[in-house]
Amino acid sequence: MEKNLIHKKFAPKSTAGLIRHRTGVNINSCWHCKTCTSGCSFSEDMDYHPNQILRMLQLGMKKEVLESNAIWICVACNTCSMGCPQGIDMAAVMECLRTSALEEGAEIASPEVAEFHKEVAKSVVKYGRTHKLEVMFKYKVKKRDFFSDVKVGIKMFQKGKLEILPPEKQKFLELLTLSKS
Amino acid sequence: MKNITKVSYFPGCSLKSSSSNSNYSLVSFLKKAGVEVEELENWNCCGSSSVKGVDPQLADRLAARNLSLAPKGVPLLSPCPGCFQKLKSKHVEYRSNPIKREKFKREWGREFDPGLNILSFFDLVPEILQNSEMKNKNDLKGLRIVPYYGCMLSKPQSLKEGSSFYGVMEKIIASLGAVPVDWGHSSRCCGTYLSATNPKIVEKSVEKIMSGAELAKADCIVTACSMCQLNLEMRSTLTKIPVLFLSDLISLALGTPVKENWLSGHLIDPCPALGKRGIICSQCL
Repeated sequence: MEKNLIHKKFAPKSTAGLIRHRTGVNINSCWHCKTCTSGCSFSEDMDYHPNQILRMLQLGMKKEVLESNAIWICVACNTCSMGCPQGIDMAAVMECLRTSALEEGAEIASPEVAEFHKEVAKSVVKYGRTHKLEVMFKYKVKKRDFFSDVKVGIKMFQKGKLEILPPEKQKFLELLTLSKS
Repeated sequence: MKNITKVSYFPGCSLKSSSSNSNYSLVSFLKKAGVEVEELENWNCCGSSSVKGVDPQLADRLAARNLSLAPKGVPLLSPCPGCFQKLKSKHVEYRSNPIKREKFKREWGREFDPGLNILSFFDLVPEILQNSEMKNKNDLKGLRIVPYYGCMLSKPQSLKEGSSFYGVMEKIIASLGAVPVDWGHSSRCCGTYLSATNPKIVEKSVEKIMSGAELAKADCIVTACSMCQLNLEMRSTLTKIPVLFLSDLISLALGTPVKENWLSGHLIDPCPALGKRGIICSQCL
């Protein structure tokens, strides 16, 4: 775990270096057998396949990678990480790329996914636990999409799968203060 | 593994809200099997799939805080596969990094416990089922079931050391008197949160899974993950096959007392499929 011993000041500048620094993955060890891509449940919905993302990183195409929708379609199910013969943790690479895209203010190809993640994070900071109804409501308001899931939402509510009241809040104050530091 | 008589319990947000039914059947099963279940006090969200990408430091703190709450010498049960993975990988990370352990102590005022045994659903339940003397009260009468693991069995590289649980659900299903059926989609990801953001993608994926189950002539799908369960039920369009929790199935077979209307919490009603095989559940009566 030497990656965690490196001081911020010495953090690498290249994307490949940054990924190695944060996740311990050497993307240059990929030999493009496409195990990750063929195992991926959602590669057909991505603009670039997982192994193509790695190839682009190898070629230094940072902007294209950070602005691709592939990094947001990936749900980190780890199927690719399990299968990789070179031991590349592809799901961790994708996670790292999502963080980088937000940090560097890249143009987000799937803003809806990014917004959803932000709403969940906000809910966690607010209550210490997620409050699904509020997350979905705020997300829908942001997207200006009020009607798409009303039917299934009502059904979930009737079956007791959505709680109106948020989780108890006051006990999580230490978390709140910490997240501001 | 030694005989476990007590676990501290980390349910996670899903089991506490949208899948409280499965939470109920799991806890009542464990209690009946003689395992003391004590919920972690004041636990917080593990960060779900979202926080890590948006704010890695916060994700780190969320997992660490939960670890700091776990009492010493008692195994920690985290039945939700998502939460389990987050807790376990943080534990592995801290265990191997003295600087982080030092920081952990400063931040949470407690020594990091490197020996903490974090158990997933599959670590605990099959073991207990095998050891317990509970008899099948309600034989499942050859109910045809396809086991659906989703991405539960896929682990990040850092967690590869643990045992693999391929085949565990098949064994449990067979031991309860039902028939585990082979099919091609047992490890296909359900799409998790894309269900909220890109429902079209998930509908396509779920339809493949559902029609795969139909092709295998399954009466129902069984899963151990609450996210999978919800997604399969919520985003199925053409083919609708009931999706049960493994703990529901165990409760049904062993006659564990479960609260009224427990099966009615499903978006796809499982009662017709169960009734067809002559399996009596409280709903069908």
